[in-house]
Formats: sequence, C-alpha cells, structure tokens
Amino acid sequence: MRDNIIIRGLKKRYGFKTVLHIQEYRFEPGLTWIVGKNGSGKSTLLKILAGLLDFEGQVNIGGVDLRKQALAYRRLVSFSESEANLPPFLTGNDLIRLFEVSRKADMQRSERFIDDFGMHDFLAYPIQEYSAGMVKKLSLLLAFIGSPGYFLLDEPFITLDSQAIARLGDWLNAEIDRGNTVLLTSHQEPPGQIAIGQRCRIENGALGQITVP
Amino acid sequence: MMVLAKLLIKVFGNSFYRENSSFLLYSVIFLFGYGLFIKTAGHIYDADAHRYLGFSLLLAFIQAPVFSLAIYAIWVAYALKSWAFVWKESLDERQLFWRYSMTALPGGTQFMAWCLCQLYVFAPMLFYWLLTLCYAFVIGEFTTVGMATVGIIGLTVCGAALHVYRFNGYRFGRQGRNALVAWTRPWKKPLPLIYLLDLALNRKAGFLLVKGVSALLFAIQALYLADADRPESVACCMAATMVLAHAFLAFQDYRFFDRHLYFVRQLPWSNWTVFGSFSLSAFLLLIPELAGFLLFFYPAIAMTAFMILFSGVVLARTTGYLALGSPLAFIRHCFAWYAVAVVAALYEWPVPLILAQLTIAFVLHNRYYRRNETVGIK
Repeated sequence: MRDNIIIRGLKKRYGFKTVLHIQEYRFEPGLTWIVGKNGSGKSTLLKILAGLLDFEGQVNIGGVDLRKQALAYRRLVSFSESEANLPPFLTGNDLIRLFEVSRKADMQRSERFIDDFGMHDFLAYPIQEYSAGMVKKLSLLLAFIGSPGYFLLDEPFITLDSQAIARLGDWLNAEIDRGNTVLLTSHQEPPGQIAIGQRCRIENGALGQITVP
Repeated sequence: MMVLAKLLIKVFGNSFYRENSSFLLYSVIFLFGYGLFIKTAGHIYDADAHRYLGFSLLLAFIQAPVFSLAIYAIWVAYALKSWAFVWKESLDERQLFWRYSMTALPGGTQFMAWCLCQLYVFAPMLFYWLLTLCYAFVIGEFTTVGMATVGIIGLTVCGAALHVYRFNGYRFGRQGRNALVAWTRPWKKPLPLIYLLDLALNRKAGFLLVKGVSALLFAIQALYLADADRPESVACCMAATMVLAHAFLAFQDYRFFDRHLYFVRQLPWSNWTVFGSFSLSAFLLLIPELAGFLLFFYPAIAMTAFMILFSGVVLARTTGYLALGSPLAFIRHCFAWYAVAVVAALYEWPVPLILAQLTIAFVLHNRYYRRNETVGIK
C-alpha cells in the first residue's frame, strides 16, 4: 500500500486573490474525486501537487517533500492536465520518447496503453494535426508512462469517446488494485465501473471531504 | 463598423502586440539608440548647439539615410509579420467564429474595420510619421512625410484587403504539410533540439535578423577594425553586442518553454540536466558565430570571445525567470548587463566576466526553474 499525500498549510495566491488555503489534508490510496465550481482551484491544486506551480506550505508523500526532494517526488507523481498545450510540431511519438527517457520507463507498458487507446495510427503525425480528443488521449497516455504511484488527472473524461472512457476506467481500476493513488477532478460523475474511494469538494479555497450516504 | 473594428483590435491587434512586443521594443531601442546617441551626438560641435538640441535630434533622425532605410526595412518586416500573424491565427479553432459571423457583413464594412485594426497595429510607425510631419512643417520639405504617408496608406490597404480575402474568399482546410515538419518527423528529438526546431519553423524572421547583426559585426571587423591595437577588446565588445542581439532569441526560448514545454518541470530531470539542455541549445545556435570568430581572430582570442557570447546567451535565457515573461523588464535587464559586459571587455576582464555569467545563470536557474507562479500562458 502506498503512502498518503499530505498537505499542510498550503496557500496559493494569484495576485491579491487567495485561491487555495488548506490547513491540512491527506489523500489516501485509491481514487479521490475532487469536485468544485469553475474557478474554485481544482486545477491549481493538481498543478501544485504535480510540482508545476509555486505555493506556500508543505506537500509530501511518505516523507518525500515536494520542494526538498524535488526529483524523488517527481518520480512518484504523474499528471495529465485538462487542456494540454503541447508543442504543435512534435509528434506523439516524440513526446512518448521524451517521457520514457525521463522516467526510465518500460516501453512495452507504453505499447499496451497505445494499443488500448487505438493510437498507433496518429502517433507518427505532428500534434497540430490532432483533434481535441486525440490530444487528450496523448496527454493521458503520457501520465501513465513509467511506473508512478500517484496519478493526478484534471478533467480526464472531457472530449474522450465512450470507448476511450471505458479503457481509461480499466486502467484506473488496475492502478487502484495495485494500491496506487488517483486524484481526479471532474464535473461529471466518473463512469460506474470506476471504484471511487473518497469524494471531496473545494469551496472558498478550503478542501473538505464529502460523506456519501 | 466601429464595433467590428473594436473587436478585431481586441482579438488580433492586442494579441499581436503581446506576441511581438520584444521584437518591437528591440527595434525601437536599436533605431532610436542609433539616432540619438550615435548619429546626433557625433554631429553637434557648436558650443551653442545645446539650445537647438531638440531640433537637431529631430533633424538627425529624419535626415539620416541609414535611419530612413532601417525604418522602412523594419516597417515592411513588421507589416509582413502582422499579416502572417492574422493568417496563422485564422487557423486557430478559437478564431473559427469569424468565418460565420464577420463574413455576413458587407465587404466594405469589413475592409474599413480591418483598415482601422491595421492602423492600430502600425501605431509605432504612426509615431515616426508624426516626426516626419513636424520635420516637414519646420523645414518646409515634404518628401519624407509624403513617403511615410504613402507607406502607411499602402501597407494598411494591402493588409486590410489580404485579411478580407482570408476570411471571405480563402478555401480553408487545403493547406499542405510543412516540409521541415515532414522531414524531421521520423527523427528523435531530444530536449535541446526542440527549441531549435521551433526557431526554424516559427521564428525565421527573428533568427535571420539576429544572425544579420552578427554578420554585420564581422563585416565591420573585416573592413575597419582588422588593424586595431587591442584585438581582444574588439572581439569581446563584438561578443557582448552579439549577446544583446541573441537575447531576443533567448527570450523567445524562455517563452516557448513556458508555453509549450512547461510539463518538463513535472518530469524527474535534475536542474543540471535541464540547464545543460538550455546550454546545448545555445551552443548549437551559436556555431556560426564560433566559426566567424575563428576566421577573424587568433584561436585564443576567438575562444575567449565565443565563451563571452555563449555564457552571455545562457545568462540572457535564465534572466527570463526574473522578467516573468515581461519583454520590457527583460530588455531592461539585458541593457544593464550590456553596460557591465562592455566595461569588462574594455578593461580586458574576459575570464571573470565568463565565470560570473555562467555562475549567475546557474544560480538563477536553480532558484527559479521550479518556482513558477503560473503555468502555460495560452
């Protein structure tokens, strides 16, 4: 079983506006579905946990601190953003190679994901020729490259077709079965096949657990 | 018509300024720097000239043929850049709505709205036109202002006609593949090459302009400075000036990384690896200058000058962190650095300069690389 993601005294401001102010929160292994209104700070929280944004406070996983052990932390965590803005002239294969090299990943595992998503046909072409759904699939695939134990997925279901959503559900369930942690933001309820562990809501910058009867 | 013009200015005009502000600021600073400090300062000998200083500055600006030539060359490049920008933006999905909203309006209305938008984009050139107008009334010589007026009207009308055709007559969806993208598609592209590819694909004009400055400096060296007493100082000053020109490309590199390669910050690569990647990009970019230095100077001097150039460009790249994407702040830092570098070159302190540049560059990178406030400016 993996360690919890622990947040302490996290604060994030954009200009004068405090978007997030979380005293303490623990994300346990399994899938956590984070909800909140537009602009409530869901994407910002995931970007902070991914190490893409500066913040005040502490984030650590099993004693590995995001700031103090930047590399060790990043080996544990992967991120797929809501609308990826990838270099348009690179091909999908270029980015897959880049991620495989940086994460020293097993290429066979990537191949399996590519097969599942049916991406072989377009990975050799520049991203500028992809549709929104194809970019989304690529962004998700990149998050699953290597063997990270913590998956941060921002709106993973938007623009995906129903077949791709079902495949993604299978991948997520497999990671949850392995004891890994998935944090997912979505305005839509995740498909029924996915086992949701915790549900939480971001409201007025604070994060709170939702109890489901 | 005014409503449409306002919208076009908001969508295309303002984003064009945001995209090209560094190019524009560099051009203005270089041109006015030349006009103010070289052309005029060198021509005021009379003790009473200070009384007429303002007037002399104006005369020198307008009268200098080199200045006029440079203005018109930059003006045409700037107009082409603005047209290419709208052309490229029109392919963006966010701009798709123009094709089924604006096109319902009469062609004349669209044309006039685009003319206003184009004039807004030409605002820096209108400033030059005002100068020529003052000159014309004071001196009574109207050729320059006439040429400037014809230039403004001609380029505005051409631009507006092109944009009207783009959104009304052009058949979208038939564009072919870029040959360079098709050629490089099967290649493996490590991190340092990605920026160079972006340069070759999307920033050709800036690249050629910067390399043109380098070529000009080498030509000056060959024609006028070959017998200079202190070749080391000459080479080092040349290198410092080349850094200033290359800072434009370094800033583009910073912005490209921030917009499209921001996800690299999430990958488990050490600060050293990423810094090494930036440095390798800079080295590959500067190979023509290395060849030039070796051709015009003794190897020891050439290598020293090249190291000043290389470490300076790496420093300029990391200065982007301090400027937080603001071209004005970036240019301020670069010119402050330039003053220091030229003093170091004149006093023949190249080694401390190189060491200081590399050290400061790494310290800045190490401090700010993973500490950004926003992600992916879209």
